[in-house]
This record gives sequence, structure tokens and C-alpha cells, in this order.
Amino acid sequence: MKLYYCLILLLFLGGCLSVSKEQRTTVQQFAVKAGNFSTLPEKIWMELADIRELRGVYYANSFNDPLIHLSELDAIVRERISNDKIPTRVRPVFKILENYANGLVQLSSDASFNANVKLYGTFGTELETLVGDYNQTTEVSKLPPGLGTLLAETLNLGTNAYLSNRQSKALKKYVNQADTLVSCLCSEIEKYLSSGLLIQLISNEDSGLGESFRYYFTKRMPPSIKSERDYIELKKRIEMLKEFRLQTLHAVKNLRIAHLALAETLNETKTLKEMAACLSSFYTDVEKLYKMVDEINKKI
Amino acid sequence: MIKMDKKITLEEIRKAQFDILVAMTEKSLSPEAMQSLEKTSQHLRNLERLLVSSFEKRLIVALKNESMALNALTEEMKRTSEQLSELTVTLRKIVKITGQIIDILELVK
Repeated sequence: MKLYYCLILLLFLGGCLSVSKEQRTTVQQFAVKAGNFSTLPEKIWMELADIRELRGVYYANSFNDPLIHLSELDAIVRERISNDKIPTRVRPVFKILENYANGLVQLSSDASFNANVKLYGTFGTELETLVGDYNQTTEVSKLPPGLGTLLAETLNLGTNAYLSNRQSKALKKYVNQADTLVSCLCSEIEKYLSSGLLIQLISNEDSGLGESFRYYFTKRMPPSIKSERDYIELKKRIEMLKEFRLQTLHAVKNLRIAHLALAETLNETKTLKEMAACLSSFYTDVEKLYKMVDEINKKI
Repeated sequence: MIKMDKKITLEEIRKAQFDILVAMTEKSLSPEAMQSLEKTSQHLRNLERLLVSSFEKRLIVALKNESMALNALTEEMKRTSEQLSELTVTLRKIVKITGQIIDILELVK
């Protein structure tokens, strides 16, 4: 009887707590997008450094004095070395998000669930073999035919339900606890992206670009077509950078909404359909950012 | 041109650079005057670099300080992650459960 109750309890718990395949797929898709997104904000620094360096070369070329010209080129190199270190210094904050997303991918992966199913499948087979052996060796009170198979199947179902349950519980707990973390991270990233300092840094490159080229054009008349093309290209990159910051900010806001929706869906207070819109906005933002990064990379 | 006893801003540097540029277009400018204008411009550019660098540092510090406040939450996340490894322990327990079922089956006979 105890066994019977145990099996019923296992199956009951399985039904109550398991995370559906669709939910796992959604969690996984979200985790991949969130992981991808976490690597994007640092592009702002890389792009700023590139623009600063290129406009600096034009500025340096405006000097008649070779010593000043050379020392300006040296200053560009020093500045570049320092600028290249910024993404690494800022990365830890985004790394938390990336690590969380990686954990989520692992926890919601089919491979993990399927590995368990396969493993428990062997338990069932083992049990069936044992029951078969038992029936062969026992003269009296043989186990009813098919009981081995039934128990093997039930055990298999029960253990799958039980373990997928544990995994589901862990997944739910992981996402629920992480919601506070994701919310804090997002608000921190939002503050950083909307900070007056960052806006000033970008607008300084914008006005600095005009200034550097004015120096160059004043001293190197008539300007080469290449220099004019470079100016137009850099001007476009500044505009793209401004847009990239805004788009990243938009994505962070949507990331927070999407994660909350994900937690609510796992807690069954929101349906998958309701969550889809929230996730879709975040995914669209990430796709837009990727396109922008592609554009930026083409220009380098 | 710039009062150095107060905090200089990027806008002020920009304005000063513009003044230098205007001065450079003077046709009657001597080579010495041109050289000192270039030097002044370079000093201003260096000042701009320092200011930009301080902005960057302030941004990084703000981000890192706040991320330290997240450490407690991250620790909690770690603990939750550790619970995942409990799945392995459960797997081992399942082997025992299998054994117990056999024991119970023996009682049924």
C-alpha cells in the first residue's frame, strides 16, 4: 500500500509542478536572447573609442609643428590603450546577467530533461528484469503477469515526474529569485545608459568631431575627398551611437518586463500567450541592436 | 581665455578651441604665433582628454559600487544554483528507492 501511495503522490506532484515543454522552450529562448543582449552595451565604449581615435588623427594632422603632431599621435595611442580597458571594467555587471542566462539555458535545456528520462528508463528496465527474475525463482505467490512491466512503467513515469518536478521546481525558484536580481541589474544598467555623463561623452565626440575636422580643413586646404568621406562616415557613426544608446535603454526596460512575465508564466499567473507580447518586444529590441552592431562593424 | 580656478567644462574647452581656430585663420599670423596657438590647442585637447577620462571613471565607479550592492543577491543566486546539484543526489536516492521497491515486492509474496 505504501508503494501505491508513494507512486500516486509522485504522479500527483508531477502533474502539479512540472514545467511544460512549451514553457521550457520559452525560457530557453529568453535566456539565449538575454545572454546575447548582455554582450551588447559594451559596444558603446568600443564605438566611442574608435570615433575618438579617427577624429584624433585628423586633428593631429592639422599641426604644422612636427613635434606637436607626433606628441598628439602618441596621446591618441595612450588614450586608446586606456579606452580599450573600459569594456573589461564595465563587463562584470553585464557578466552577472550573462551567467544567469547561461544557468537558465542549462536548467531549461531539453538535453538535461532528456538525459534524466533516458537514465530513469534504465531503472525501469532494471526493475522489469528483477521482477522477471523474481517470478522465475519463486514457486508460490508469483507476481501477477505484467506487474513488472506495469511497475517499471509506473516507476519510470513516477521518477520522471518526480525528477522533472525537482528540475521544474528549481527552474521556477531560479527564475523567481532572479527576478529581483534582473530587476536590480536592469535598473542599474538603465541608470548607466541614461546617465548625464554618458550622454555628455557621446555629445562631446559629436562636437569634437566637427572641431577636429575644422582644424584639419583650416590647415589642409583643399581637403581630400577621403577626408570628407571619413567625416561623413564618422558623423553617421555618431548618430548611430546615439540611437544605439537609446535602443539599448529600450531593450533593458523590455528585458525587465519580459523577465517578470516569464516568472509569472512559470507561476501560472500569466498565460504563455500573455507573455508572448512582452517577450516579443524584448526580442525585437535585441534584433535591432544586432543589426546596428552589424552596421557598425561594416564601417570599421 | 579660461579661468583655471573653477571647474572647467567640456563646453568651455570647445569654445576656447573655436577661438583658437578663428585666430589661426588670421593671415598676418607669424610662425611663432601659429606655434603657440597650436600648443595652446594641444593643451586644451589634453585637458579635454583628462575631463573625458574622469567622466569615464565616474561612470565605471558608479556602476561598480552599485554592482557591489548586488553581491548579496548574487550570493543568493549561487545558493539556488547549488540546489541544482541536488538533482545528482536525488538520482543516487532513486537507486535506493528501486531497492526498497524490491523489498516491498518481497513482502507482497
